[in-house]
Amino acid sequence: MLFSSIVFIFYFLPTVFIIYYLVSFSRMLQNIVLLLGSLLFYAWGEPTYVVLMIFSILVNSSGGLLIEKINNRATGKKILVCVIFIDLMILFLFKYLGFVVDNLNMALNTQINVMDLPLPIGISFFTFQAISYVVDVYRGVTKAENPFYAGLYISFFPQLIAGPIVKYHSIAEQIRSRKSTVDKISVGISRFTVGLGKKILLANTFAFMADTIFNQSQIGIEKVAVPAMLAWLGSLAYTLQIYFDFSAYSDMAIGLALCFGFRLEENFNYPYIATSISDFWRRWHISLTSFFREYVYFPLGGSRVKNQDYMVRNIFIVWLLTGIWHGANWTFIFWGLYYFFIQLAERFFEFEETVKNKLFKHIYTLFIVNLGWIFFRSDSLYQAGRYIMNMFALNNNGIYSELAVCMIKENWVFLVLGIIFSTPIAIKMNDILYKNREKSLNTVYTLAYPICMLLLLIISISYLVSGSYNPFIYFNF
Amino acid sequence: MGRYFLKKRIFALIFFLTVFTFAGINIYNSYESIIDEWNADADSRIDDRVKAVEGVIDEGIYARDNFVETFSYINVLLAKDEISDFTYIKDKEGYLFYSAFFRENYDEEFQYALRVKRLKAAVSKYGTKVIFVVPPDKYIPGKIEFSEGLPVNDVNPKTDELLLWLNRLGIETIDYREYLPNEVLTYDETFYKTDHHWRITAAFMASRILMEELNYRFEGDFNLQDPCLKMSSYNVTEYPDSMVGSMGKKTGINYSGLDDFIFMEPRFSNEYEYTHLGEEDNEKYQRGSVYETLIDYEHLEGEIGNKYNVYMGGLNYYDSVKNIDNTDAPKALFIRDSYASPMMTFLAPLFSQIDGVWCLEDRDDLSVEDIVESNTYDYIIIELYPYNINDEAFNYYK
Repeated sequence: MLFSSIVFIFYFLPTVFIIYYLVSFSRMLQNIVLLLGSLLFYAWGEPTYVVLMIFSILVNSSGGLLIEKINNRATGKKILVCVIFIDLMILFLFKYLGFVVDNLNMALNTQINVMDLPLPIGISFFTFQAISYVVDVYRGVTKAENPFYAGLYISFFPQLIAGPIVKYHSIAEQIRSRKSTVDKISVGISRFTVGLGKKILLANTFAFMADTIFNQSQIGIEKVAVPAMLAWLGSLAYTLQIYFDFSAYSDMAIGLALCFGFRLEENFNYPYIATSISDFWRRWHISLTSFFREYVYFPLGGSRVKNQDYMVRNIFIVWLLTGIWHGANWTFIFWGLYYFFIQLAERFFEFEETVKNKLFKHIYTLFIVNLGWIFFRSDSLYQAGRYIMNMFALNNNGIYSELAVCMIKENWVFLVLGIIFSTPIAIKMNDILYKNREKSLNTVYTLAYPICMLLLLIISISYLVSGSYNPFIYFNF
Repeated sequence: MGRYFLKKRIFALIFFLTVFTFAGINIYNSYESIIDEWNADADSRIDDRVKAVEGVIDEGIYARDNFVETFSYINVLLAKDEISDFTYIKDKEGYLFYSAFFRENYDEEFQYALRVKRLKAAVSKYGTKVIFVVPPDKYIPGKIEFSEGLPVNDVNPKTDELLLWLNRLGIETIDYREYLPNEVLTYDETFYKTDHHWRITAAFMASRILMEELNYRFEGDFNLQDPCLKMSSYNVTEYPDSMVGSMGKKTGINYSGLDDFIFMEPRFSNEYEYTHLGEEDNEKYQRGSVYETLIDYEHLEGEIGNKYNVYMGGLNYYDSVKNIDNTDAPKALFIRDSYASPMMTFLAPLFSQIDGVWCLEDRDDLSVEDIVESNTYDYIIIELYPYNINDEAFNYYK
């Protein structure tokens, strides 16, 4: 089920919300309501694979309980390895097996056939959460939970499909004891509505532009030329799409979690105002970066190693895994390694310290990120290469594009809003306005806010009802 | 800080009041349809059943038209020349067109023409004459102007390709682009802004042209002075700002505007037996005058609506009109789309029987091959709107 769908907004959310607060006399009942709601939420989109999720819950919660019960470090480690192996095997089977076999077939000239299994929605997200659960229990950071609570952690519907990836120790306490307040619910609903607006009005508009242009580029230069101007527009549209799509989903997830009393960690911090690639990755998909740092990079030794070669190796492994995590395609692996080399170069040249010109740093970062998204968006490295050639008019494709002009003219409002909301201007304005001592201005703002938000909600639903383009990038990760 | 939470609290209150009330109305209204849909096909895969239920929920949302109109109005405020992600584009005069970012290949047209030739060969033993007619498309290259870069779906080259192959294979054709619009019937009088169909007056003129061509090309014996072919034999009623076509329905009236609708009501009538299989999938039989059979006055009742459907309900899977008063006249079959509905209504007096089969519907019980071989028609008229030139429309003699 998508958050940006009629069935979620007008059927699922009100029903779960009402039942949840009707049983507010019992935390256990509330958790069970959320667990059942989450399974229903998942089953709506993946009726078959909900069984897989239940299996994952059972394996990981049993593993956690066993590790705690045995209370022996060595045996616990074996159990941990087994459980993680099962988690990763499930992920491999559904996400990577086809890719690996295809490449083996190509390399060895064999014809091994594997069943083409559809990818279970959000498998990478819930697998990582499951791993976090057993690892945290093994480390003794938190206690093991009963299968219902562990199940709720793994399948909690606000962040089930596209994160943020919640580390178990950061939420374990909240599962048992959390407080729902009017202010939490109010902030949560407002955050959800902002996310909904960002997704439907901005991300979907950019998605249409990006998909149209990338699809044209895929048809091939022989049939459809994608002039440089159009190629640049497509890449910028995708840069905006992926940010608004993903951050909107995180906004909705964080907002919904607040409505049920949970505080999730932030996942984005205006990444497009970053001044270096290292800075960008401190602001982009924070929960994934944090997961890899805590469960991969630090255990490998992190940066505190005597030999710098080990640090390079550790960074390489993290970036390789980051690329692979995003999808079973060479484009994602290339994209991960692309950032490995750039980040390494930044460290080597001490870019953040030595380069002082902020404007240059912004332009450099945006350029590198924009280029990276082309590999991320393309279906193959070949297409990515052709696309980049299109951008620099190296494909006999010309520069000027009437279609690009038309798309900009038709969507300029959304493009301007997209650029504005990629920066913290709105937050800053908000701070200025509500801290303003002029009482009348403050009052006007307080009254205007709910009206504007209601308009945003109505407009978003109007777009939804009218059947606007509504894809979701991170749905299949 | 107090005000920070106050504004959020006010909004949360509004959110809960509006969304939850609206949710309640929706659940109450759609509950039965959801259950029905869930139980409708108990044997199908659970994924399909979930999708079907979600479809019912989406389609059945309360005040759907109001949401579409809000969407429509926002697009007006944004001064957009395209709407619904370039599904429709608007020319400088406010006419809606389909858009396409790139041309399709035209390598199937020969195959389509070949199927028509096979159909002609199969019925030649009955002496049946076959003619292929193509209504004009709204987009006329060189005449219609768009803002820079708007990608119109120009189906003219595809139409040319098909007609070329039909002619080479010896099929008679009428390319209505050669006739409409003209000095008598201007562009505005030929097309709607909000719909892809031709206007009723254009359909009437096309009906007359068809009969002239049948007489000329096949040495037909149709009386061109018949009242059904004279404008003066009709009551012409104008319904100003009352027509919204399928394009306008999708974009919302705020964006598309409204069209005037001219209704041509015959002042004469024969006695008909009309059998038709509509979208509800139940066959209906009616007997009576044209007013009781072929004209569905319900479509004229609302202030605003798709009034084009007044003739034969717009489009049915199958129609059969028997003319009780003219049993010796020729018998015709229209393999057709919705463009032919007014034509069939106007021409019914000239035939003893006019049958129609919707060419885009692939139904086992309505095979074109079975229909043409189990009936002896004098004429088979294949009518196809240019956008419908695709494999489904030539679902015969493959």
